[in-house]
Amino acid sequence: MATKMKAEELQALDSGSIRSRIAKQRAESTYLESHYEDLLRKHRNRWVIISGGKLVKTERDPERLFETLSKSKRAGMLVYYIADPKEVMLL
Amino acid sequence: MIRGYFLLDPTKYPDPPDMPIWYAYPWMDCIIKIPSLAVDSTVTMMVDTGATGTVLSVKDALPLLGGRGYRLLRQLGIPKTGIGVGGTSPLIEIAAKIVLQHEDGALEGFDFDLCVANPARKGSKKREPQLKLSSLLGRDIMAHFRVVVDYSKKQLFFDHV
Repeated sequence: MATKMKAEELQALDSGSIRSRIAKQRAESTYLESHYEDLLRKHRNRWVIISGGKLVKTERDPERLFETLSKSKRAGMLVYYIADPKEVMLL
Repeated sequence: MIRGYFLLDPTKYPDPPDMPIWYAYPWMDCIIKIPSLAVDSTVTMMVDTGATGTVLSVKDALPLLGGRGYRLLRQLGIPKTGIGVGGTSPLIEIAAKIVLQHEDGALEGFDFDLCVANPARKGSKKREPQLKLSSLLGRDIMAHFRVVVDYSKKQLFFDHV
């Protein structure tokens, strides 16, 4: 059961940093959305790794992606598989 | 109010033109912390009312844990099995925290048991589809809010009434 964190624990967090980090994470999604058509055209059936508001890597082979992600020290990046939504349904 | 968003809204794109708004994914950005593994990261999660609990996907967990972190997770966590439309998947449950941000900047957080997807062995047919799945924000967290997923107005938010 999820229990609400106490106010003092939340206050102890660096709220400015958290807001900034959440805003940065939104930037990764914004990049994906604004470049989706281009990504679909150029990188269909590949994973894309978006970090710092830009595309940093694409990968077609799942084992290589696995290795890349395992060795990555980046927190907060967005990894997304570019599939044609007409062909793939996420369940 | 904690606002999410619909990502990849197909009605915004000329191609494919014939897909409806409900193909867009309901996503929310949050902070996930796993104190015992020194994990503290932002994660984009799909809001999934079908998920009993919140799940950190393989593709989101790998950069945070790596091989060493996963080994420690397997020692410290509790093995569980996830059952979904695509079959079963191995999960490891561990104590975690999630922090969400309200529109006015206020933070709201929860202590909860996070299920981390456990990667299938190399060579397994499950390994590739695992890497395509998003992290899920499940009902364990949603149960604390009124959840609005309004495709007609393109609004997604959690609030308290």
